[in-house]
Amino acid sequence: MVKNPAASATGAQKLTRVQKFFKDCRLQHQLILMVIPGIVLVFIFNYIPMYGALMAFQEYSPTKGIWGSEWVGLKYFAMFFQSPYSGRLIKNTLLLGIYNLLWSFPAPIILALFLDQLPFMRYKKFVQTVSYFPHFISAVVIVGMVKEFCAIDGVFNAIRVMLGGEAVSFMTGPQYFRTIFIASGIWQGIGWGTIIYLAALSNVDPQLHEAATIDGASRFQRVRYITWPTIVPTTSIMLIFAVSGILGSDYQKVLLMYSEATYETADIIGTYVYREGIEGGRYEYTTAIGLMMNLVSCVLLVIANQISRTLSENSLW
Amino acid sequence: MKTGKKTLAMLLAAMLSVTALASCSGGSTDSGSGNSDGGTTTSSEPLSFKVTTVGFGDSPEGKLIQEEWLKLCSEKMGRELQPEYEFINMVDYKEKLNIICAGGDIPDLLSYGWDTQSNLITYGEDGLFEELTQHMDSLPNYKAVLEADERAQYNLYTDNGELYAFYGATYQPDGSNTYSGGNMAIRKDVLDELGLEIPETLDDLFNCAMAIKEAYPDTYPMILHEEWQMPDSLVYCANHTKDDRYYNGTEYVYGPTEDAYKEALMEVNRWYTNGLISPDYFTHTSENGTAAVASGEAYIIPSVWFGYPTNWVTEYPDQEWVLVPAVKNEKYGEPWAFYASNPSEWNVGNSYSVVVSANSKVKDEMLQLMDLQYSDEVVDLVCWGVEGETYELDENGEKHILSIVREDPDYGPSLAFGQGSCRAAVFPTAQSAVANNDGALTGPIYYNGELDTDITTNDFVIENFDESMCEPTSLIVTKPLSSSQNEEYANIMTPVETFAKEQKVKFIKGERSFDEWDQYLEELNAMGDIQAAMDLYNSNVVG
Repeated sequence: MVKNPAASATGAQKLTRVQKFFKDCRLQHQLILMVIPGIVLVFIFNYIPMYGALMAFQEYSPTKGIWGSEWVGLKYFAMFFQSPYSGRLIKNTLLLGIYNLLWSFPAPIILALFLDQLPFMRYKKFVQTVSYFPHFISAVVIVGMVKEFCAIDGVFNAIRVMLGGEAVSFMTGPQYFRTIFIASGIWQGIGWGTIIYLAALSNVDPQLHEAATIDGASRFQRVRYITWPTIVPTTSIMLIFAVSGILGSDYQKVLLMYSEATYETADIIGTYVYREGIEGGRYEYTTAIGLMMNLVSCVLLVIANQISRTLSENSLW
Repeated sequence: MKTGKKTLAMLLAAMLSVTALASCSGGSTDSGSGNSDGGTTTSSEPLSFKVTTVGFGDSPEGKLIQEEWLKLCSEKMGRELQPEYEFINMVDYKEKLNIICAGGDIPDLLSYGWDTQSNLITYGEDGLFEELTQHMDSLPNYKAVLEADERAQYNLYTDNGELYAFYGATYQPDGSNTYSGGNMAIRKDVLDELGLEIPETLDDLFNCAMAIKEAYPDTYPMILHEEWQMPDSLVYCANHTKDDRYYNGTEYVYGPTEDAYKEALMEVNRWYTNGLISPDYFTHTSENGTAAVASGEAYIIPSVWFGYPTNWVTEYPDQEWVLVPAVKNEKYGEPWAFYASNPSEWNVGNSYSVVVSANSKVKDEMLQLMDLQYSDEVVDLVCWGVEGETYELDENGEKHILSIVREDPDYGPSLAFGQGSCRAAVFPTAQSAVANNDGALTGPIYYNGELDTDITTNDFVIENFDESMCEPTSLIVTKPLSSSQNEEYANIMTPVETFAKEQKVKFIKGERSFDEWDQYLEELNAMGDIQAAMDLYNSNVVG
């Protein structure tokens, strides 16, 4: 048998790559071992259940299971768009997500920049600790507190009345829902959100600040030209994640906060899926809606990543 | 040192992997063994099985009646019973039930409730639950109970004559009828203080609440006590309508399309705009309601579970609560004060039931066990308890619940009766109206201008029941919707109901004028073919 020299060369090249791969593995075996549990968990809990998305195209039967149920094509996708509420659900979901991004995303960055500028370490640590507290309170308790604050006889109305205004039922007014949802989210998450930015800020070389001060830079200029560029890569990555989460507002918190009185602005796709799917038992229908949301989120992630890569050279991939 | 760190890292990683895999395999074992391993059991071995049922606050395990129940059923079955319970709180039950059923891996016995009967039938027809008519010859107790209730043959079976559940049943030798939703509770001591009479009409109620508001301007005289007891339901009963589908004596109609419903909303709007009920009440829950009663700042509860005023006699001795079964609207005559049940010896309801997994490896044993629950001995045990411990016999041989059980609010739960916050066996157990009435506390009830402080609610109903004061839906028999009808109904009515609920709030709050009622009706009808949905039920009316 005559050997093909070209094939032989390719084989040698492949062998070299394989050898290189195993050599790398040997060199990094501790790191690989540490990553394995995470990969296993993600695979089991995030990838394997994905086959359940097939339910969106089926007349699902619990006894026949995913592979035995009858296929119905895009019936449930069409059903959602034919629903009189699909437009409102999409609008509410988008608006809540966008407003949340606009207000909640910059808040921890701003706080982190302020904290970084604080000269009194003890005061800084005190502020940090106090701002972390709400993060450890469950959403149920947070919403309970928000309801108490916003009640007709709550603290906000007490202030309004003291200033000569009239008491308002905040929790039953659809016009107040987004503000209350986003503000309470910032209150709960702002402190915790600063951690990653403060970690990034700790990388700033103090000599840069000293040099800039000697050169006559003001505090604002030092933040603008030294501190901010340091956290831009972190901010870009966090922004990419945040953009992809626009459609994924915390529906559990919305469920706790909303009522028939505020459906007009508060009913989002997540709550609709919960009502129809979990409470109403229409799993195929709501799986279809969930699948659509995930696809759109995926597209948003890719677009945000592309924009970030183009503008700042920072990206997930 | 470096080698030590490497070893530590490797050990840590290995431990994490093992932990992750162990927890995964543990989970899959649990979920995969939804049914007991009955394949290896013999008549001499204990009968192990899994039960998912409703938790009402306390676990019955280890308590007197539960232990006696296990003993009795083990004796009857000829094997020691070893149930493995999973209790799910009643508040979360519907949500969890749907998830359990959708997973397709259900326990041997599963309590079914807080969901429509049509969904139960859908799962049954899917093959998830055991079909019972094929076993009826080996279910003599259940068969006898079903045959004792004429309606059962219509409202429990599918069109094909299939039966998928052991339905909750009440033994009522003298006939028994429960209330409709139109029960009000009112603070008589406050009314006496202000020189007010207990209201009998909607106008009386409004005037009474206004007088209380005048006396206590910083409070809201009316409250929502529990989120499933909406204040407006009192007005619907007075106006002979509902905020949902109901039978009006001729056909099924959708309440939110009716003038009587509009008038009901106008009445609640009158409460709202005059500050008689908190502007926040749409978001209130039972926590707010309980706190208001406990603080003494609740004066009128327009819709309340009829047992509370009696309970509050001992719980809040400084507050004098009175149950007012219904108030009327002069325009519509007598209110819907009662809910009719079948006046036969047994009344089988279709709201709560127990289903047997079609894939249970101990299916025959589960069927036998469930049939036992309808036997006299088990019904007696679960409803009356143990002679000398919970009840005694009088000279005529009739049972009477001991006063310590009846009057000590903690004693009943500590025994695990078949009712209350701690229930033995598997919910819903068969009930005895006789035992329930014997064990019931007497409480103040105001009716027809008279206050009776020494009567149980059950005796009150038996004495005053009037069919003309029943919601007509309870007087007819309607077959459950089939799976396809159920889906069709949901597709039509989901947007309609959402719209109606939202608009109800707007009308009550005054954000939408009643002058726009016709426009509202147009918008409501545009949401879906309401008549087509009602006709699904009309076609299933048996008579």
